[in-house]
Amino acid sequence: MNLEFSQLPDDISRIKLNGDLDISGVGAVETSFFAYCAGNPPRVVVDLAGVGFVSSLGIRMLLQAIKSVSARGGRLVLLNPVKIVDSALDVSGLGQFVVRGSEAEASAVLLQLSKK
Amino acid sequence: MEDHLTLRIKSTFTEIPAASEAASRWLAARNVPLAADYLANLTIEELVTNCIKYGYDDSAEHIIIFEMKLVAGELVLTVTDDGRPFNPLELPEPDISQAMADRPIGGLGIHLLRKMSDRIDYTRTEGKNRLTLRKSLAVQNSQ
Repeated sequence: MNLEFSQLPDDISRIKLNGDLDISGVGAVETSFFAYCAGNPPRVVVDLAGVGFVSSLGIRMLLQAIKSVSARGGRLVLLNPVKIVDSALDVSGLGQFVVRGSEAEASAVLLQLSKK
Repeated sequence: MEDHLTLRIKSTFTEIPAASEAASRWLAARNVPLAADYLANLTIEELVTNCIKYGYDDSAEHIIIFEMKLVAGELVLTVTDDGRPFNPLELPEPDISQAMADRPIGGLGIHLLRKMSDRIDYTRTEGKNRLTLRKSLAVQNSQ
């Protein structure tokens, strides 16, 4: 499991996760993942296209980040999960945070949500 | 002859990745659909983790038995442990419609297994918990 961070325009943080969000994967990335969910207010795109598996620990990490970012007045979206991961997110109640499209489109969604 | 795999998993977290890899290798060799492979890995991670965290009253090493077989168009997974009696199917379903600020962080493991499988059965016999999960091998749109 690895994590790539980049800064997009409009102070949007992009976190790309690659690998499995299981007990090993979450352990490998969670400290840096939460550290990168920063900003004032935080605006975060989590790119899940490279994630092939998510367990409840992975769901828990994403849920905790969404709650933490929301509590600071920010927004977080989950970009392009593969179908089986999308199903797991959906049955866990995180389907509302999934966005499909390019980084630019995800950024536009974040900016729109931030106005609400 | 029935096609099956049995893994004897020691009750330590470090055993989980190797068990998952062995299960995936076995399933890949049989061209099992992704959703069934996902369920096998989810079962190992969620149930073995639960068992190690909450299942035992002592710190001795225990063996958790994970069995897979392909029967009549289904993947059948069975997890057997000698931990204290625990029927996860009696746990209440988490309310995923709650407002995000009010949602608890945990409690999703068994929920995920329920939703990603077609059927789950629990029995307690001879001092052991046994959970059996089934998943159709038919390829569905979710893959």
